[in-house]
Order: sequence, then C-alpha cells, then structure tokens
Amino acid sequence: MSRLSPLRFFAAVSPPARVLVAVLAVLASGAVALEVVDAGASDWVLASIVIVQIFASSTGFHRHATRGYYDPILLAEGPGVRLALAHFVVSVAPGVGAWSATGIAQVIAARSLSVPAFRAPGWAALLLISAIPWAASVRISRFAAGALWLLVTASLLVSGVLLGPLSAIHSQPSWAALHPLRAIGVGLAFPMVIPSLRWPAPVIGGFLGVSLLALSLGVAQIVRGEFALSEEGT
Amino acid sequence: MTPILEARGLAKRYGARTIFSGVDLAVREREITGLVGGNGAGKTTLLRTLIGFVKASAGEVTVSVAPGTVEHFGGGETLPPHISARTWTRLVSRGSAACDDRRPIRMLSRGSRQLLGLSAVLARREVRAFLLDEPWEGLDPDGSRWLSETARKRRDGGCAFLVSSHRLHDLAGLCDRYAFLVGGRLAVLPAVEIAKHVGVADLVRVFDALRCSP
Repeated sequence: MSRLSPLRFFAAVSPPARVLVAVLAVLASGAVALEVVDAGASDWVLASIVIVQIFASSTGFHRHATRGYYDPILLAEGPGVRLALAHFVVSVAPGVGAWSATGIAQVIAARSLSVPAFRAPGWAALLLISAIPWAASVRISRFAAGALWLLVTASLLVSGVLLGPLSAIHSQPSWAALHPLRAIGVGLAFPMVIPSLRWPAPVIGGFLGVSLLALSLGVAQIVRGEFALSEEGT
Repeated sequence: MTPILEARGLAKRYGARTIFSGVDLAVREREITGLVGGNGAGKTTLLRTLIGFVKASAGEVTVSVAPGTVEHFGGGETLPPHISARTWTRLVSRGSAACDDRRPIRMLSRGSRQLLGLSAVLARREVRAFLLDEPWEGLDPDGSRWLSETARKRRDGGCAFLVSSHRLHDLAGLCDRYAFLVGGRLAVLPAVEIAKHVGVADLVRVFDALRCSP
C-alpha cells in the first residue's frame, strides 16, 4: 500500500500563495544580482524577505481542515505532530529557499560564511518570522496573522515607541546585553532589523525560545484540534 | 460478520447541545449499512466522530483494521477547488485511479466533483471500510448506478460500508442494514436489519414512526 506523503499532500492542496512565492523568487534573484555587482549590497534584501515571509507562512490550517480539504491526509496520518510539522515545512519553504539563495550569494561574494543571512541573528530571524505567523494562523484565515503583526509593527513605528530602543541598539552595541528583554521585544516588534544587527547570545536565545514556543503551540493546536465541517453545529 | 469499526456509547455534545448520545454501531465486513436521518440530525458529525476528525464527548470507537484502510468521503464540497482533478485523483487514490482532466476542481460541475471524489476513494483496493456522506448527492442516473454497483462489488469483495443519505430510494436498493439517527439516538432496527429488500415506503414508515415516538 503506497502511503500518502503529508509533504506532498500539503504542497499540492495548500501551497503558499503563488504571488508571494513569485515575490520571494524576485527578491532572491535580485539579491544574487546585487552580490555579483557589489559584495554585501544585498543585506537589505533580507529585510524584504522577512516582510514577505511573515505573510507567506501565515497559511492557516483549520479553515481548510474544516472545509474537508485535508480529510484524506487527516485520515491517513491522523492529526499528529508529523502532520503539523509537514504543514509548517510546506508553508515556510519558499521563504527559506529565498533566504538560502540570498545567503549563498552573500557567501560566494564575500568568500566568507559569516554573512548576515547565515549568522546566528539571521537564522533566528528566519525561524521567528516563519514560526510565529504559521502558529498564529493555525486557527484563523490565511494572511491574517501576518497582517496583524505588520499592523502592530507599523503602529509602534508611527507612535515612536520603537525609535528610542532602535537607535540605542544601533548606537550602543552593549544596550541589548544590558536590556535583553527589551531587546527581544524590539526584535519581535520590528523583526526586519534582526539579521543586520549584532545581538548578544541571551537575546538570540530569546528569539529562538519564542520561535520554538510558537511552533509548539501551533503543533499542539493541530494535534488537539477537531475538524467538524464548518457547516456543522459548532 | 466481523466488525471493522465499532462504536460503543458514543456521544457528541457542543456545550449544552447534544448532537447524539448512546450510539452503539458496528460497521461490519460484507455489509452496507445505511445511515438515515433528517437535516441537521448529526449524520455528518457521527461519521466524522467515527473516523476521529471530531472528538467524542463520551464512548469509544474501535477500529480493527490497519491504519490507512478506512476511507471517508464527505462530498464534492470537501474537495479543494484550486487543484486539478488529475492531481487530486493521483493523491487520494495513491495511483490506483487515473484522471486526465487537468481542470481545477472548481471548474467541474457539482456532479462531476462528486464523481471525482468518489472514484478516487473507491479505487483504493486495500481499503476495508468506506464511510460515505451523502454519496449520491448531485449524481446523474449513470453516476448513481455506477456508485451502487461499485459499492455492491466492493461489499461482495469483503468491504464494509456506512452510507448516509437522504435519498431513501438509493439506500433501499442497496443496504443490508439501516441505522436511523433521530432525536440524537441511533436505532438499528432488527426488523429492518434482517430484511434484504426493503422498499422506500418501509423506510419512510420506520423513519416517521421513530420521529413520532417519544
């Protein structure tokens, strides 16, 4: 009996939005072109990938599951950890691909592995902006978590709340080490800056911890979820 | 006949609202069981509880066959509209059925979607039990005949079926047993259970009698 692969199923049934995949491909191609012209010129592209990935990974799960679209895979696999992780992997794959392509271009141009995409803050940012929107969107509509996150970011920027901490992080490298919780808050509120700055280990650990917590909560929501059809009397 | 899927004391409640309770049901090999109930009686919820998509509030379901050998079809509306008929068939039938139609499922008529979903599910030779929710919905006479004949063949080959439907005339010509879900209780009537050639009028009479009984 041939098995139904959850990765293959989700890639076919609920792939990330084509337009976002196309934007990520354009960004990655642009980064490669920039690195060919001028080594290190593509660092800002990572911030753009962060923004797009926040939306791309907000794929939603329950909405499709309660319409019955996932019935075959739920029946074949059960709503287990493997199924949830497969959904996560498919949701974040285009962003990870664009990030990796940009990083490889940076490595080749710089002839060094220590480039923004592949340094610890870069990986932490990628995990953060992949795990949180994915987990937050498990029970809500596609893109809603990404839109909410960017709305909060924009509101904080416009209100000026972030300006002080951001300039402190830029001007005083020790600020984040002295205020690790506030630094984690700044990173969460404005994740676009994470790859381009130097962060102390506790702050990077904080980003990883928050990401893993979000991922676990997302997986738990799927594992414990129930999938009545949306027209049923819930 | 060996039960492939068996529910004992199954109940489902949403808050204070009881959808069904005390449901005892065995889905047995070489048998087609018709699940009859009015609109909103809880047939779909019962089917989805039996396969574990909906968590039971009480009771238990025992499955005596290997994982992956129980199939369910919830109707054409449960097929994702954006993927092609060909891809869906290949995925769900695990390569047991082929479809050349590359159109997205949303481009298909209601009946074609229904037929596509059913043919992908019923093509899997390794499946031992099928739970079908309103499978005749939207099918034309040819499709209806194909479904009934396929179900009979698979039953004779050893498979178990639990089929919910409003279309009593389709059930009447096919089922070996009938389970009536009325007022949140499931009644599998012995008098109907033993009759092999139950007519539509008999089913309507039993259904009405159950609805009127306290």
